[in-house]
Amino acid sequence: MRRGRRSERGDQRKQRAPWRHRRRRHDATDPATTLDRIAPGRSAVVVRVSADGGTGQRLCEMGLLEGETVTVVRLAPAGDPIEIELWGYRLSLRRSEAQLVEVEARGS
Amino acid sequence: MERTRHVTVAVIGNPNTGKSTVFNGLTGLRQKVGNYPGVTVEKHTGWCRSGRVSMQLVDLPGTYSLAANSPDEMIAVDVMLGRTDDLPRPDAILVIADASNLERNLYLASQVMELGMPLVIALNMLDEAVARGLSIDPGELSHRLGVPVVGTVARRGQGLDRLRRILALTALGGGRRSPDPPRLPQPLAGEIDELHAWLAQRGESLHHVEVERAIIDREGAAERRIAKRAVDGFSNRLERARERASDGRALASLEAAARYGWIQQRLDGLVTRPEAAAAAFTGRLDRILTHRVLGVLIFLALMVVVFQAIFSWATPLMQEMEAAVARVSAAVGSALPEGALQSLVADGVIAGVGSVVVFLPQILLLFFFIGLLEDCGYMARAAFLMDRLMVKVGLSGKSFIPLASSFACAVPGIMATRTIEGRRDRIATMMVAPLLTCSARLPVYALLIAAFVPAERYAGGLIGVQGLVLLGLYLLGIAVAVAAALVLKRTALRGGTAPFLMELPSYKLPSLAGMARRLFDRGRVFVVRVGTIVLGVTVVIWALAYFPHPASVADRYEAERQSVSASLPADAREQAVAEIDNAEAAAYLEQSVFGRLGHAVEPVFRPLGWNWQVSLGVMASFPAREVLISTLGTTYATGADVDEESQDLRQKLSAATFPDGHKVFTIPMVLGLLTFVALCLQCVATVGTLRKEANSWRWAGLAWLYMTALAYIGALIVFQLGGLIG
Repeated sequence: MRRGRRSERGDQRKQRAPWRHRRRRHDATDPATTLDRIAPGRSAVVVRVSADGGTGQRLCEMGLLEGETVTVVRLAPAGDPIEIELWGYRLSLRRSEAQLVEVEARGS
Repeated sequence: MERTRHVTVAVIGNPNTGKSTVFNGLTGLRQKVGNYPGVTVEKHTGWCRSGRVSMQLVDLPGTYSLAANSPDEMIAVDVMLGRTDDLPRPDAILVIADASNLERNLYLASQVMELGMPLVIALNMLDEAVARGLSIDPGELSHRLGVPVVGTVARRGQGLDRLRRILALTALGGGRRSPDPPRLPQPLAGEIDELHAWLAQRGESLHHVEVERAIIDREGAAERRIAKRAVDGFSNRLERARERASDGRALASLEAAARYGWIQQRLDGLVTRPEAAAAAFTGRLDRILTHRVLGVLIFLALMVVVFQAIFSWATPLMQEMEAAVARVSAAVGSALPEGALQSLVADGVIAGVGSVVVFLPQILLLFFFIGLLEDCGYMARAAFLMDRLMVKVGLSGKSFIPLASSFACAVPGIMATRTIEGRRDRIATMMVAPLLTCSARLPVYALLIAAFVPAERYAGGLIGVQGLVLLGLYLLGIAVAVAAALVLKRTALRGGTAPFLMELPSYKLPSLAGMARRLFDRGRVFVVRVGTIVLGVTVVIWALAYFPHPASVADRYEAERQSVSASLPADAREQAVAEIDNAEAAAYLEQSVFGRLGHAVEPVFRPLGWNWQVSLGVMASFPAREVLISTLGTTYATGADVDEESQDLRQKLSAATFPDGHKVFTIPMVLGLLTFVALCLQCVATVGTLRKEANSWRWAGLAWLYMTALAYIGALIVFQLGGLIG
């Protein structure tokens, strides 16, 4: 139970300051990143979802799973939330939520 | 002899699958709306018949999964397991699936299959799937899933007869049935079984699914419910089970992977999905409607058009209704002999019911537009556009339309918060919605501003002081609402924001029948539930304002009327008698319990610059704001049927003085009074709606208290500061 709560607080912190997240160290050959960093028009394949909290669970239920291809369609006028396409339907989510999805970038 | 068999069927499905259309199509007008005790979810039941079988259908809230974080979300599982008091355990479950989104829809179906109950899947919106180039064979799908699958296009009424027959057959236990739900991986599945057995040993007879949810949904509703039953050592046992089951990965992820893997396996080769999968029309329309510039402009324009439509259509209707209520009141008044009963019926009951009924055109129009936006799919886009802004004030994009609606009337706005999934966001939105300037405040504003705010204009006639004050009042409401939302989210409603994750459904033409049905349902809920509370309160207020109705007052004024009739010529008589009647009404009011209350309470409101008449008026208008004007009219002997345009009333108010001679209605006092009306929750209809939507008096009471406190403090500050400056 305690583990869950800590993750929730982590989600909260990320939500309060969505722009100030830790920058992932990038290997030159490693296209690994998070869904919120994928530009509109480009696709990515899901590597892992941090599914510890309630948000993570919803993400998984909606079909964001390891191996699935996701396309970022557009950003809202203010830059947040994001509209993505997967399994043939459109889903919108906040950048802070997209951050929980680790992906491997692909082409457009 | 043919005997009717009675069965119960639970209907479940994702949102945006046309579930309501199927439900309406099956049950027609035979529906009922009620409540489940203890939750805010409404209970929709309906009836239909197939041959000898009479089926009671229970429409469960749209959901993507049986995972539950709150009692509200647990209701689906509860109903399906027969754990709700007034519903029997269903004999069958109908899962409505969107044919264009089969993979995601089957997620829920796979969970429902684990309940082990007879299941039927309705593959709805087949026409759209075909239009998108998808081809699915319901028969083959049925074969692979082991449950009956009926293809439907509920919007056109296709497939519903067959669905009814198959439902009846399935509910009676017949039909081919061999569902084979996904198996969760080890060690998770093993841990669920063991915990189930462990709980059974301790006397807790739970369904397998409840234990599954308790393990996977961390701090979810299932876990909390079992914990409340104080089974010794449960939390520790649960935590250990989770650790062992997790195997390094999150449990939710394990479940989702297992289910989607099963789905892909079952659908392999069955659903042919062409390259351009998402609906092309929706995609093209979204390129405009969610465009960074154009999308926002269109959205704002749409808001303006809708509000304009509501005000211009509702206003003549409301005037008609006001006139009709007045006519009925007069007719009844003359039919009954003079006395308490006549006053109760004419001034109490009819006026009370009338004040609810008068707002009905506006409320129904708002419900209509909100329903239209929801059904055609645009509502999700509105939330998408507004979310960033709303998050900054502690709410969510889904709060925007409910709050915008509150600028016309808070009642439909609060009822529209049902679409907000997160409980905290939903309650926060409901709690601040009444702060936004609603149309009932406008007559009071109009009266006070026109009478007391100087009509000066600046900048060559462009900016008027009166207009500025009105604008200021609107901005005040918004500013305080924002502040209140932020404070609430940090205190009483503290906790993470619910996930925004929101499907953007394809645009579709709403079904008129469905919208009419919902309009009727919501209108009826408003009139019956809210109307009852309003009626009760108005009768109480009537009684306070009527009794003790001393005969001494009657005698005195009757004597005056006699002398006036005797001394004046005929043409001046009528006017004079009318004035005496008004003076008599004023005297009655002053003598009444309420009048004395006004006097008694005056010291409390003196720091705000109010005299007892104003205090009385404000207290009398707690059920409904517009009553302030008619009460002031009565106390200042201009008659109760004045409105904000009445010159007579304006003059009387301007001339009003305290016993020591100085004026009551000074600029600082008026601005203070305006501030009070702006911030105070003077609307029983709103309080009643808050109580109903939050399913408790706690939030309604809290809203009333905090807004009254804010109103008092605001008026105090404005008056005292104004006195120092002016």
